[in-house]
Amino acid sequence: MTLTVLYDENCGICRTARRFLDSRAQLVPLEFVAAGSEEAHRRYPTLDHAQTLKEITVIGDDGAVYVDDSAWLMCLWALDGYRGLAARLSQPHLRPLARRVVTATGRVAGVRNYGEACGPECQR
Amino acid sequence: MDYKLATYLVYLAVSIPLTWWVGRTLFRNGQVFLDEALRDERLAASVNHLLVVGFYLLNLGYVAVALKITASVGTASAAMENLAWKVGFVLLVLGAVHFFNLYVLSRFRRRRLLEVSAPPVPPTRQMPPPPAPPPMPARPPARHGPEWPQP
Repeated sequence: MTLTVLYDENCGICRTARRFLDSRAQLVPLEFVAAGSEEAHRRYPTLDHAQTLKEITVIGDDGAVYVDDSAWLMCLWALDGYRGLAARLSQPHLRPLARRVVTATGRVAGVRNYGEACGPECQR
Repeated sequence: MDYKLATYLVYLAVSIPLTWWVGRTLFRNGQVFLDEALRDERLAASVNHLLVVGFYLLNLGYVAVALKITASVGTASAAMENLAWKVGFVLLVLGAVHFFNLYVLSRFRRRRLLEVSAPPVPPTRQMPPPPAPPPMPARPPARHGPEWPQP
């Protein structure tokens, strides 16, 4: 199984998250593709790409689409050493907390620089 | 033979077989646990052996270090009290090491179970699987099935 992460490369938090995920040992390989990019359109022609710029999206090679907090939980699940955390956060009594954290993070990203073009330094 | 020497001998006669018995129990039952946790019988046997060696070293070391009685033992009841105190401590240490061992084994097992666990959340939606290999530019457009429902 492989998971493709569609992240907004114009958003600082998303780039930091990508770097974090990329630097950890992965039990399930994570592939990162910029949301709304040509590559994303080529890979997933039927996907609503405008929506992927608003919320992080993870897509399995079986076509399963995970959005927002589900996408974050799948990213944690893919990492070695974070599966226990993903399993705990996905339990009914902690899921609302995970959802609130993800919403708050998205809001901060929106206020700071969401959608702001940042040129080649985005790739770093 | 004075009371102190008799206490030492009984202490060793109780503590060493006790350590051996707990070690054997750990070895026999831990093997099943490790086989399941590590999914590799040779590795499990090796880890089990190393754990039991560590267990014997720790406990026999403690039994030896805790042997000495500093106060004088003049009566049979004082000898009995000293003996109970020392054997009791050996039992507590054995219990603590045993539970620590169980904790380590359960960590192995938990890790193994997490490695084979299913995704923690169901997909938000399902779309037809994307074409498997990355297509070349000249390749004809891939066929795809019905679109997944929009939220």
